[in-house]
Amino acid sequence: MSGATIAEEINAGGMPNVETTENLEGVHVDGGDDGSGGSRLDISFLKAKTGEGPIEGYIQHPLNFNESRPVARIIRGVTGLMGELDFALVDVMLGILEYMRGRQSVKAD
Amino acid sequence: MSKLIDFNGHTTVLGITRSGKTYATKKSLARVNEGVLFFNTQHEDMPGFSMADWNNAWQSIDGLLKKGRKINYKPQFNEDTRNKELSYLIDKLHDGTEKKVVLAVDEVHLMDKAANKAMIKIATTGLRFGIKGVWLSQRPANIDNTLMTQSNQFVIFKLNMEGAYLDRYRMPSEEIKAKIESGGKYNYTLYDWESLKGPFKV
Repeated sequence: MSGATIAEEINAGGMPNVETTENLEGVHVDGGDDGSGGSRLDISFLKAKTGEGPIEGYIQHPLNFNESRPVARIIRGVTGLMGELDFALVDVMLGILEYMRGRQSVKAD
Repeated sequence: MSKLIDFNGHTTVLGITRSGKTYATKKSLARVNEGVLFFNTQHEDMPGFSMADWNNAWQSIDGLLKKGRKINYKPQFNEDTRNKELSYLIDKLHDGTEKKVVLAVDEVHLMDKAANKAMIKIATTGLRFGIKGVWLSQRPANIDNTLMTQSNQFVIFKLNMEGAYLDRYRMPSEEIKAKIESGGKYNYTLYDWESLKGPFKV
């Protein structure tokens, strides 16, 4: 039969774009099944690009509780890492910031 | 008790080196009615299988599989190339058409993220197209979680110190160990999420 060899196709860059599909046929395992496979730590998130636009664009962001530039920078960075901001982790982070700022204000009084 | 492995659905085959897992799998695959594509990571001898590697065109391999032939595919030893070959083969195999093929991958724990994604594609949607996955490994702790949870059955040979990991999947690790020890060399147990059978020997 004719056709390019597997080696030729691979070396020509004809690699498939394999998509991850939904879990449709499987058995759910309780307790500790985080889907990570336990095989390798994925640190590719460290190379994530930051969110779009200038920092100033995030000063009026609803989550920027004190409309400050530092918090705007944090929000832009988290947007780049996670895409969306309705995560519990974001709430925790910004809540801590807000709390610390509140405490600093009390000490200043 | 002598019993060939019956590949119903997806199967994970576990066992340390020289436990008999590869021999038992080869011998059992040689008897199935479907075409078999054995991704032979360790270049084991496979009597009765047609040899293929990346110097073959996919069309020739596909043609043999459609005839129900057994293919011993020997990938390159270079890890990066090997992973690309596996991803390529799976992409060609799982093309959305119906077929009757068993894809067996030796040492699945050695494959990279992209190759694992490809195998997960088989594990999650392969059966509806007639593709069964057989994942062989000596390190269950390093097998992708989805491959484990999507397996219909586990063929377990002798393992070392993997009890805690088997417990995580609710496998009766102590009972498995006891059955293996009682059965002697090269025997295996069969776990299908509901019951444990064996020991058997191929």
